[in-house]
Amino acid sequence: MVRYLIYTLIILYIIWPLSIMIEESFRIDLSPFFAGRGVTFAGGIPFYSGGFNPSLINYWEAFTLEAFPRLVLNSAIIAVASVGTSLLIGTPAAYVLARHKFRGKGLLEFLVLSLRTISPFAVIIPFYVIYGRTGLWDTYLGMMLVYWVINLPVIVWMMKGFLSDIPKDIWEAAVLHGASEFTILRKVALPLVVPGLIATAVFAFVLTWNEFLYASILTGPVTKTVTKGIWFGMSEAAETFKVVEWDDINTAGTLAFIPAITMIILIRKYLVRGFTMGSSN
Amino acid sequence: MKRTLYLFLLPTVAALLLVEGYPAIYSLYLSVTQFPEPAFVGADNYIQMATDPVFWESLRVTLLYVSSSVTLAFIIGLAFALFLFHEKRQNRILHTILILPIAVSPLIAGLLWSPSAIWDDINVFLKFVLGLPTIIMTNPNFAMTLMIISESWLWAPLFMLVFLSVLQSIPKEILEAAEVHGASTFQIFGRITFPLIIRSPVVVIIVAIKTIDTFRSFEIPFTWIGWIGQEKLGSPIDTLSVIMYKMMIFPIYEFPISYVATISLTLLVISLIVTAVILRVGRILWETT
Repeated sequence: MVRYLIYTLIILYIIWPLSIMIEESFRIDLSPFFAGRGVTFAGGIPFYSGGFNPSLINYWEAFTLEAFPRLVLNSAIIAVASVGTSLLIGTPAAYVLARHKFRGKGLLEFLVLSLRTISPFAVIIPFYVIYGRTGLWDTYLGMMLVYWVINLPVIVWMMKGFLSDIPKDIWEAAVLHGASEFTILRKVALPLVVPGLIATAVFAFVLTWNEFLYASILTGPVTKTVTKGIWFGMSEAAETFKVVEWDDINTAGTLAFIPAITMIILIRKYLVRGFTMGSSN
Repeated sequence: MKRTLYLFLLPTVAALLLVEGYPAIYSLYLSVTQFPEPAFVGADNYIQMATDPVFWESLRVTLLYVSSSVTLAFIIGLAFALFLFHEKRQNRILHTILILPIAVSPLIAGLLWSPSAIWDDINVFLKFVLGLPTIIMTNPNFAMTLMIISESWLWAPLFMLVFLSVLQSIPKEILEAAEVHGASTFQIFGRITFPLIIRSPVVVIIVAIKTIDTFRSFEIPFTWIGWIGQEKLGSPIDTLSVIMYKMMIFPIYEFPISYVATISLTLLVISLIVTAVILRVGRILWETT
């Protein structure tokens, strides 16, 4: 009995905020139920004072009137570019960190980890200044570079974790066969960590997709991302404080949430490793 | 052989130096000059920061926010993990539901937990059904509590996952032996489970990582600005990251870029210190296993 109560509480706690977002985006308003009223009768006719107009109009608006498809495209381009390049750059480094010891290895590991601690503001102001001067503001290239700040440490550490799992004998066998490091990486290591690669890529993608701070300052009309659009409105122009437009927010929020949660569910198994930077037990 | 290795490392090192090293040094440079002039002003910015009551107040808020959120997320995550661990049936559905918050952008989480979303409904419930006075949204204590709850809402599932992996690595024989010897559930938890959890390196690392992350946390306090304080700098719910954002966005503060750089570097140092402390405590715990 108590178990079911706890069950309910837990599920409520997690789901309720999200369910409101999803409901309202479909224009379903459940607040009359909370007033204990629900459906009342006005002059003999059932009357529901909330807006129960389940409709896709918000979504229709998002896709036609507002620039939502453009936002999705932007977020996707930036995330794919940044994660893709980070994988290319970071995986070889992770391979070295997983396999070999060398002078300065500890230092390098500490640097990669500690760079995760940098407050965005320490980085974002120089970026803002420099991008302004070099014309990289509001460009895909600029955003791709900025998100290296987030993605590279995560990818290096996650891939290091996955690569460390490969048994030493396999390395030794490959060396005995006279393979060069490059060949080992390409033909031995990578095929063995494909699931890990996918998990890492997905994880980094979701991080980039959901990111707000860098996007809000360093993008503009051209590269506006979904997350920025949730706050600033889905049209192309960016505004500062505006009246909270719940329709927009809920619709954009739901649309942003769906790909993210799909991907997260797919890589469930690897989440712990991702967050602890590869040091799982 | 060696050369290939360095070749593998090179792109990463170069990229990190480019996007993190250079801006960090540039920030340092900014903090000892007065943008946009290149003149060296020494420690002026730091002194200004050290004597600024807004800074100290906001630092206090940040520390409170970090300690409460991480603790709450720890506790909730632990509760979830224990509950899930002892549930054999329907494990998968509950597990999926419990990790939902991880996929949510912190911005969305902040919006959903702020006044207009769930709190309208709760207030309506309180007023019409229970006849209680409504909760006033603009009360800073209420706002702070909510910010902490929503931050831990986001990260409790993560703690839960870590705890689950620790729980699953406890050899069954130990738990069974304890039960056979007549230990109650509480005793098992207090003497076996909990100490094992605290001593696990993964747990210490996740606490350290989440602490650092919460120092930098921006989106959730940000969504409350519209309700409390707005452009005012000294609002009781502003964390340091919000203060810096306000200074950069609102023209009335005249974009004190150097000052913001100073604060951000200080914030970095503070979070590194706190993390080092946590890791040290963790190491001590490990050694007394």
